[in-house]
Amino acid sequence: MEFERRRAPGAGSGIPLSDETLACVLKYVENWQDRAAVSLVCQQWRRVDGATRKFVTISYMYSTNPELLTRRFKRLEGVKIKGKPRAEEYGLLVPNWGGYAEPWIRELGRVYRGLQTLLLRRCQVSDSDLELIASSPFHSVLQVLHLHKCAGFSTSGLLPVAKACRSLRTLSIEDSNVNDEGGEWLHVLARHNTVLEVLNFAVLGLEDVDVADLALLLEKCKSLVSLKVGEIELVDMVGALGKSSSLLELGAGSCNYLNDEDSRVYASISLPLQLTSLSGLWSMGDFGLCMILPIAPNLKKLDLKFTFLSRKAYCQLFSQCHSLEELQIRNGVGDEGLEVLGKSCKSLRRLRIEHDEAGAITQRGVVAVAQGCNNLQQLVLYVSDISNAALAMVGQGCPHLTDFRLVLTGTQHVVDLPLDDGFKLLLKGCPNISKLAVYLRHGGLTDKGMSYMGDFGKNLKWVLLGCTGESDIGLANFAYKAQKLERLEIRDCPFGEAGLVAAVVAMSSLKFLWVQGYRAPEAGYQLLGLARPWLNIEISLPSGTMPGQLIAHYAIVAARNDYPPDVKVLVEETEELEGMLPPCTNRRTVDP
Amino acid sequence: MHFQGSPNMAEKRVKLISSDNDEFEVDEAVAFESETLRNMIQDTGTNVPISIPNVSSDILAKVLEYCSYHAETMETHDDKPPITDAQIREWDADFVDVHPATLYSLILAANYLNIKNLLDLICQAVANNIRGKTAVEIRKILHIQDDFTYEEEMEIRRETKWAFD
Repeated sequence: MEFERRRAPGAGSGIPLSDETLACVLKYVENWQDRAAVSLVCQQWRRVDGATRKFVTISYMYSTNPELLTRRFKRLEGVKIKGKPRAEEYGLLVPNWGGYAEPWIRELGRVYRGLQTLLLRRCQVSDSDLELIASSPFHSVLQVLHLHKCAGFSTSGLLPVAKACRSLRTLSIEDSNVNDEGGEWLHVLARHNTVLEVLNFAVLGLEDVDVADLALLLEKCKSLVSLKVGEIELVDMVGALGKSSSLLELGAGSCNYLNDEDSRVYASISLPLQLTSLSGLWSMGDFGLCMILPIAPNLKKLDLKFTFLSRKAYCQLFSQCHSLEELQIRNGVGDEGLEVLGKSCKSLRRLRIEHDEAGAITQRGVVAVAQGCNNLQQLVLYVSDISNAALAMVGQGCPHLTDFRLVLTGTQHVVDLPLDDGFKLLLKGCPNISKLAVYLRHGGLTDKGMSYMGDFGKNLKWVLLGCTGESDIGLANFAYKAQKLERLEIRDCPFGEAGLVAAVVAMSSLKFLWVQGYRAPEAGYQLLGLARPWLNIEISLPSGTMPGQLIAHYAIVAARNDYPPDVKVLVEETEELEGMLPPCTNRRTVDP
Repeated sequence: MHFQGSPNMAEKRVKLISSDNDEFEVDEAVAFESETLRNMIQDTGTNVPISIPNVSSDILAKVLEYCSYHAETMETHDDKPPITDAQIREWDADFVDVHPATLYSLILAANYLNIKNLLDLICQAVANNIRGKTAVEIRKILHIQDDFTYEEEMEIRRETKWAFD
């Protein structure tokens, strides 16, 4: 024992590594999971990890705070911060919910002079926050600024960034909600930046941009490989596109003018031949096909979500896309389109078929894809009909799936419910699935099906349950086995408060739970059972047609205080919960 | 023990003495791979044996094996094709294919003797050993004592689990 102690804290030789040497070792250990292990070895390793870690992701900003980040990591070069829950993407959060980037940007600026990468996802970012970035000590070294699905800023806010951040290689406001206040920012960017590699402002409603600025940018930035523009008319920017020989990815703007013309105008447009990725093409109809076909065999990524292609056009296009690896479409593609896809696109790895009132896909299309595209890793489907056999086929044909999401839309009668056996065989065949969304309708998945998900979904980390299960027993059957599950989202499921409490306690890896519209005859009282150390709980009261919501997440800090009045936060003392509960209408009327 | 750099050049020889009093004799070019030895030799010349009190014979032998190979790669021979980078990488990979405890001792030696390329090579090899391991496994491999209190450890576990990825 004495001997052991004398050897501490170094290695067998009795001499510890110097901090400098350890830093040299850790230079080659970049993966965050490895770094997490490193930080747990001993005091010295934790200290050196903190001094040498380069990149940190904060999966939920309210799980910690900016000061704890900078105290722990001294010299970060990249930070990714995720703000609001995913529910924000579907308009399910109350207004002014939170997710403010400001305190983070301020603290990052105070400590990290060498910050090269800043990725913000679903954050509330104001123009003054962007100004803060532009005037921060790291503005001149910032290379990547990615505002993904953020909201609250305008194109005026981009102006100081374009002026000050001259080293920017990536500027992306992908899928953000941006106010269009003119294209001055692009003018400045084109004049000042020559090193841009990725520019993405493919945001609906962004149209006030001078194409001459785009042309200048394409001419000056010789390394620009990815350009995705807002609602610029494609026909206006074709000339500018000719100036770039480096472009591989194009988000091509909109085709409103072109649609008024005929196919000859489209045919006269030649897209850069070296393109491997094409998106945008807002409102493009079948006439546009002749413009894409010449480059179709090279395309690896294709996003046609915003086009108005007919099934026939989809079929014609897919039959040429032999290199395709990623595809996003709407379900207007139909089962026929998916049949051609299954035959022609053997390298497909990611397929996302979004909902469209006009279209419909069923088990027929799903089976075709499962049989043909055996390399699929991600499959996102909105279907109007589905069968157990089709799900089983996916399990058989796509063993590499890691991400599977199925939404059953419409009210059409589905013969083959429940889908218990289908999901069982799917999960059995695809053991690597870590992300799973199952949004069905009542009766779509029974408690037995929930149990199968626990049995066979051994690697599940994120799960969305919509209209699944029958009772708290089903949830428990799943939760007790889902020991790797980190994030759980529940919508319109018949689970009660007691069941939710039991599930949270049972899932040992759980970090984040979001529930909308639970069965609530207890009206909050059972939730008191969730009061446990490190678990922060907040409730959004029901309003109008919007059912109430519950967020429970683990954190190393106390609950937030930037929430709006519609959100109630459970504070340390459990009595406070009772005071803030919604009026328990159900209980009083049903059980006076 | 003798390590030779180039047999055809009449070079000065350097004597080195390990912590367990074994004597090694190498060409000056081999010793010069180490910044520390280079400085010592420039100060005191090659007549006096240089003692290296914190490196044992087996580790010093390994280090000198590395130095003599790399000194050799720097030389050009008319009758032999030059050693390619791929060959050097292969040799290096073989060289570090040893027990983690040996690697750990090699780091200390490379650090003391200030042989930058060797230090880098071994650090990379140690990193390879660490990847995919838990903290407990890393401690075991490198004989590191856990010096956290229970509270500290719980705090770090919470932090890595919930806050920072």
